[in-house]
Amino acid sequence: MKVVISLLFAGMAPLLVSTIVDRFKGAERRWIAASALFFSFIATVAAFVTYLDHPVAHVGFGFFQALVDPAVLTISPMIVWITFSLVMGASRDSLNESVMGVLCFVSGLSMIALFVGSPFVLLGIEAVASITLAVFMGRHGVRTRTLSLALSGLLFIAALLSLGTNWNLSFEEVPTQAVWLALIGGAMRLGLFPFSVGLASSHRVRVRTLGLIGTLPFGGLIVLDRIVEPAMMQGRVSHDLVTGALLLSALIGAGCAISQLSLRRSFGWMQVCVHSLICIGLMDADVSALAGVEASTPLAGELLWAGFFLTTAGFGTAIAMVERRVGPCRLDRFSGLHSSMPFLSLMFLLLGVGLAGAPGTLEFIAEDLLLNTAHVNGDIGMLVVVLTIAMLGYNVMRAYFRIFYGRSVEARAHYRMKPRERLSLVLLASVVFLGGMLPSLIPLVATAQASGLH
Amino acid sequence: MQTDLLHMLFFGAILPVPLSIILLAVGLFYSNRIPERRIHQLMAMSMSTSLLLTTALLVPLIAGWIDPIEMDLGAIVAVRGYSFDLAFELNRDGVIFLWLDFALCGLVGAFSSNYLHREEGYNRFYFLLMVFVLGLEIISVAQGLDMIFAGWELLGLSSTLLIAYFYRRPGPVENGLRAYKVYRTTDVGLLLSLVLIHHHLGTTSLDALGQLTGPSALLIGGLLIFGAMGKGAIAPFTPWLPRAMEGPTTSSAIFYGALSVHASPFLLIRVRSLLESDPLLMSVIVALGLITAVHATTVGRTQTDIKTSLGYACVAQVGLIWVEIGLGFHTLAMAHIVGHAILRTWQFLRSPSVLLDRQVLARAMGHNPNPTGHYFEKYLPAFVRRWTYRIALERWYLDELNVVIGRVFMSPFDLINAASEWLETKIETDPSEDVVSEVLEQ
Repeated sequence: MKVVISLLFAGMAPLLVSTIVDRFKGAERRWIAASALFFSFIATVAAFVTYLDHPVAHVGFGFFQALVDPAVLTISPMIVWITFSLVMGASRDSLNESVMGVLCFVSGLSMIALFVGSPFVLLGIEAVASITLAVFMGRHGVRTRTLSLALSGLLFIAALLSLGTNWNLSFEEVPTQAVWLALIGGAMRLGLFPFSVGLASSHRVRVRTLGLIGTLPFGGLIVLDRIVEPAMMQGRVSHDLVTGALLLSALIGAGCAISQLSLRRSFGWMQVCVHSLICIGLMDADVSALAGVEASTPLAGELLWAGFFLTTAGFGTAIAMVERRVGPCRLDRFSGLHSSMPFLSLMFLLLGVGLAGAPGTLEFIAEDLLLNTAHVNGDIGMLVVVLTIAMLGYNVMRAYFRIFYGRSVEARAHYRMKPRERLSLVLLASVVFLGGMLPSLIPLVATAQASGLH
Repeated sequence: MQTDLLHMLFFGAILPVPLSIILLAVGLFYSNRIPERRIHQLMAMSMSTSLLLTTALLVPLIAGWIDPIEMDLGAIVAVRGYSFDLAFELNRDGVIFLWLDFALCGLVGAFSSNYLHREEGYNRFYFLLMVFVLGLEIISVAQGLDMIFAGWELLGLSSTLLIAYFYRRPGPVENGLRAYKVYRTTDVGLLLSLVLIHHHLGTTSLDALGQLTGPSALLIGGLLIFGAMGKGAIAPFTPWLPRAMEGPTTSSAIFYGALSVHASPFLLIRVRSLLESDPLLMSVIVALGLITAVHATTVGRTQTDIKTSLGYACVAQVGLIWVEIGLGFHTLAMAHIVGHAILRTWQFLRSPSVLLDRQVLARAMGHNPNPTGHYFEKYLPAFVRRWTYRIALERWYLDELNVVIGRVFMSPFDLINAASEWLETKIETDPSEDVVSEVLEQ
């Protein structure tokens, strides 16, 4: 119960702040949001400390069910950490729009969605989050992403309505029709192929932080994890079909990212690839369990989620910081920014190698775990996963070389990074590398290791 | 007692480099103005310590006075069905390569302190050099293939960033990216082999590789060979290496003359228990080695600058080392690696002075030195000579082949991109990017 209360507080704090933050002006909005997130982080840590002796907890009944497992205690603090970093890294334009409010709202909803035990509540939360984001993206003139998010929200509502009236429904009992609706809604929310057009174009939005909020995996994944996965375990949804689609999406995302000449769109396609890999990791757990393979794979999906969430948020923030200063960047020419932005260059590289899964990063462990059971997807699936990982790494290096190398441009006053921007990137990169070198600090890994000793 | 001493020596030999990297990283993060002297001292201390301790283990291991030293630092992740172990083993081949690593990198580090004195990227060079040394360390002593892959990745990253050392010029940067593309392409083979090994054996330990037989051994062996081709610049992946000469001479010496390029045959030596299980694999190694040697020899003869000539000469020798491995002469191959690495390092470090050396020699002799070498091509018919020259000048058209393969591979993604952007223009009111760019911060 204490765990649930801590998590509830962690989620409610930013939600409540989101309703009042717009009453403040300018930089005050940033600091109000940051304060709420600080307390939220303490609450998630408190939840972890309280939770230590319990592998999985089911609390409550009906709508008011909570499900607490190691994944929740890993992803929740990650969400807070990332949101805090985004708040610190957001531009002044973000402060003048309602971005702080949206950010807190979406992250609060995501944290609550993580631990709800009722499919009704989960789908309701995700629908609200999708529609909220759709409204804000629509206000900023990005129709394609607005359409995807709005459709995603409607599909979640349709799934909710098809659940029936059994309020004690568990995730395993969700009707097949609702599962399919949730699956497609989740795919749209995450921008998986063929719904990727919206994701790639999202970063056109004027306020880049909003573009990040609209594309980072704050939601969607939990729907796939809680609702779709059990249906696959039961054989009601074809694992081969879903995983096949995810593999295709990952490969297309990686390939289109390399083919792109615009940095923003390339990043958008990288997100498609990354979201697909996370989903593959989450889905593979079931097949492995069915095949009698040891249960290390639940770790893969959730670690990938945590790691990719951090690195895409960081990489996206770094890209936003670059483009804020020099305008849209192209990948068919050199921009030569290394001399004038050395710190940003370094952080871009660190976060980029984190995204690519270099040794010493959280992604390296997660990808190694994913490869551990890649064979359950067959030979083609295995090849696709490996190829995708290789292509992702190449694209990161290509982006780095194009943006920061080449004939140097003269540094200007506004190229200088503010301390809060540096803090934002350091916060994200530090967890990526700390998680890679000391993975046992992560609750998910610690619990899995403890249970692995039996 | 003896075991503890050996473990201490082993641990002492491999620890200084990662510690130096951490110190350097922290120091550079806070200030890029660390004095050159301090960085050089740090590097010198860690290299000399590692070299001394490795030398203490070198002779006993080669002579067989002591058994291979194993050290297990535990697993950083260990769950049911998976573990990532920090397990190391120093055997005869590993200690030789490790010793070579410390000796040559230490030498190059000492040389670079003058060569790169007051260069803007002095700190960056040393940091990347230490990362490179760490990568080689891991490859030399890792007990499992997944650890070797970690070292392989570090090697690739540091190598790419050092090729692009002179980052202001587009040429080195393009060539760095080209090299990285080759590395990632061949890493697919290594990754796939890792997946399959784990699937069949449940472990990636090198000791267990010999248990693989039949079609799975053939497939995994083939993938490992493919994985090793990139770093070794084995045909058709040769074009990146001469272009990698754009980096500082000292990094060219250590990477493409000495160690990085020899990591490829060293990997084959480490996994030889698997390769030897199938004669077809060994035949493939011999064939690839021969083709590479012929290719590099012919192309090298048409080069007009010293570093590129040396690069191709190096590749030709690596091809021959592959032939030796394919024929089962592992000891010969290791001896060849050591001798060749030392010779090439010397040649690369002397290459900026090659014209001066020639002038000094001419003055001493009183006339220009006579041409050396036996030019076998004079025995070929004229038209064969012409065409061989033409093909060699075009580097066997491998660049064009790589471009064609790249375009074919990327064409579906180009189509999807185009379709996606077309769809966007139909939906968006203003699909232009520039109009919606964020206001530049003032």
